[in-house]
Amino acid sequence: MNILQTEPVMTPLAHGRAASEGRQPSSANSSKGCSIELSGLDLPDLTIGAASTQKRLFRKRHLTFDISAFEKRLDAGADHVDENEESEQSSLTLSSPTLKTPFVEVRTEKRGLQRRALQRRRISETGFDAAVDGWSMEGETGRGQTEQSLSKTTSSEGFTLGLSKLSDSDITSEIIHRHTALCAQPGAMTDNLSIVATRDKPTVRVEEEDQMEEDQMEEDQMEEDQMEVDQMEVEQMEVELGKDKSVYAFPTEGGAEPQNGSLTASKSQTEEEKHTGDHQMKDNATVAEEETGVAESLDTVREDAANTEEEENNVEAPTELEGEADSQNEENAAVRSPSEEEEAAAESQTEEEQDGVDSQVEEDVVPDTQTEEQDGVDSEPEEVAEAVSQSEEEDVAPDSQEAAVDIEPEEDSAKSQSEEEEETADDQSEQEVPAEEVEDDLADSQPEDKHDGKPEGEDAEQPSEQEERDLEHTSRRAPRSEGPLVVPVTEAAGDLDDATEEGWSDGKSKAPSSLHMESPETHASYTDADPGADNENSFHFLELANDTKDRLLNDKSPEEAAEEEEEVEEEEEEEEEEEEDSDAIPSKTPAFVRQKMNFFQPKPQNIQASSKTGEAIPVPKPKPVRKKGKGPAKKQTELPKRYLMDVFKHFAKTKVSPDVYPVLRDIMDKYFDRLAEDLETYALHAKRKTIEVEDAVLLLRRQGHVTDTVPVEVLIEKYLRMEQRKLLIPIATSGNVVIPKKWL
Amino acid sequence: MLKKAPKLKSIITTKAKTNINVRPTSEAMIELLTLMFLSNLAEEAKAKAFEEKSATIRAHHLKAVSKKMLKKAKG
Repeated sequence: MNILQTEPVMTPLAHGRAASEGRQPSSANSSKGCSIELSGLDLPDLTIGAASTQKRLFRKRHLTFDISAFEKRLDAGADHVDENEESEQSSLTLSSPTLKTPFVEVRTEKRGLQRRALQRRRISETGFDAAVDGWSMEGETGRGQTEQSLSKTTSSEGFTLGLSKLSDSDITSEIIHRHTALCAQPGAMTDNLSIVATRDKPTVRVEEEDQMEEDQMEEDQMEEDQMEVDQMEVEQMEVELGKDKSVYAFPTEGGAEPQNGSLTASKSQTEEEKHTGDHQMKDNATVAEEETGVAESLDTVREDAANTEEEENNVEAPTELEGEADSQNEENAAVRSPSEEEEAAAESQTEEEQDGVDSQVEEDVVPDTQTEEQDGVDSEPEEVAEAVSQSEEEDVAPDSQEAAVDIEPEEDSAKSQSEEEEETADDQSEQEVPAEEVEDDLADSQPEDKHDGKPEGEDAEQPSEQEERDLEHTSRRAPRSEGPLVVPVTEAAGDLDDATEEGWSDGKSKAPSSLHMESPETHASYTDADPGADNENSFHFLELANDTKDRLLNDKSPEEAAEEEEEVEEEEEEEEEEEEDSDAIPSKTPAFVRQKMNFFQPKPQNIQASSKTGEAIPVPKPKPVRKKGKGPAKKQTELPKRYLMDVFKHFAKTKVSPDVYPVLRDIMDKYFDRLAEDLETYALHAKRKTIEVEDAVLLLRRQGHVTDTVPVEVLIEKYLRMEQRKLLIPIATSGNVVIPKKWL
Repeated sequence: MLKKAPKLKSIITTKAKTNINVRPTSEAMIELLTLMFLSNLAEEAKAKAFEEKSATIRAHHLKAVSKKMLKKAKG
């Protein structure tokens, strides 16, 4: 009754519908009574009303349903709440549109959302699982599949996310499978390498793994070189490199099988890169690919040379085979070829090994302990020379070179790049066996490569480190390689992109090369190239080189020598980097050049630096060691590092990597040059000999910081300290001195 | 901003070609100029780092923006 009275007005049609519908469901729903199964048209109120109307109808028409009606009445009597509840219940049973729309909607919406999300997850998960499986299998195919699946299934973003996952899984899987799957891994690695790795991915990857061991970084570089490495692969490789450097280095280098000239070449390069840890491996990869043709030829030569290291080769051979089969040997070859070229054919084997080890190389990165591997690397004398300094020495020059390259991830990678460049040009120049020479060439090429490599997307840390090394190496090598090498280097550099870096690197590489060319000894040239800081190292190299090499030529030092040099260089570089970063602007040109190189280099590799510092090279360096900073006559135009970094961090508001300091210093240097020039011009234009405030204000206006709407005072108040503000803006002080009026 | 930028004056005077003086007030202005430049540079570098989904500013980010910023601060 009450219900009837309170029923809202409803359209007869709706009621009718509701009533009819209600009747039917009501009959079905004994318990609920008013099973208001209304069409979506009914609003909750309406439904209630409908229910009530239904009840009315029921009362009128269906007397037989007294119970149900009675129940309904009771329910209705419960008022709207009950009805609502009923409606809710009914709505639940009914299609979503009726009753309690919001509730239903939410549910459906959630379902919908959930479904979608789940779907997405599934993809990523499956892809991830696939990737994991692929990794675990360590089969090239598996990896390729996983990669493919990953690439396909995951979007770009998803991919990156997946990559992180993959990296983790890869790492763990790799760790697990590392020792067991030596063979498999190299094969897989090669495949990965073959896959062109996008720059972005490596960049992201690099960032993530900046802190990863250098070896890992080298691995990344190696992968990049191959251009194909999917990010995942790279990560894997990195992990692998970090972990099983020693293991892989040897097998890959040992590649006694000249089988894949190209493959080995690429592998060797990768190995080298790994050892060198050059981040620029990526660049090298690109270069290497270009020089595939050359690499192949070199490979053959190297194979011959590599034969010396059967042991390694044997190990590497299987890996190489795997790598060859799986990965795109060609690409690897391309990568390797440049490196090989540089290293003189002597170590074709090593190259082969390297190719196979491309994947491994990454793992094996650098540890000097793996001198054996380096032997294989010798094939890439130039490249390796830089990276593996000490370990290489032990091994035969050819072998050591390779190993050396692999060992020192950063340097090698950088060097490898240069080497690659050189190699490509010098397919024939296997004569440049002497590692030293190669190194020199590489040094020249490296700076270019390094520069190129960096912008190419390598993460700051990795590439920066590599670049530093590369720069150093290239500078050393540039003179040695001479024409043929330089040419390929420049070409390679061009290919690498990074116009900016290229420009810088070119200038730098050329400078040191010219210097080096003159020096009779490869070592000497080496040292010369490096700023004074490297002198010590270079001496060390010289000693080593002298011992090992007989045929040190300016063009290319024998692989052996290169290896040694590489090792030394790497160490030197590290030291140099440290020194340079800390030192003020070096006075001599090479130092300056080196300084520039350091800009691109991340923190110096302090790790190895310490080892080198102790070494004293008896051989007098061609260039006298420069005293740090400019002489008394020269002025220091550097802002303090602490101040600069603090200010920059303050303005950046996000984390700032300390690697930026060299770059930042360089930028500020240029900025001050322009600033002083402008201010001076303004002052002189006003026929003044003093820079005034108005000069500075004019400059601000021209720069656009001060406009008609923004007065300079605003900026002053915003940025300057109080004491400076006081200087600039006369503050209306309340220094009123009240002087009582003198009344006469 | 809380510290004094040491030897700004010496930097400017060494870089200036002719023998020119710098007033203390203009020294403050020069500091303002450098701070503005650095803040813009940092902001650009930060944006570039975000572009690459990195929360840390790295050397290559900075390098990429440096050329543009130096051109902007030409006057």
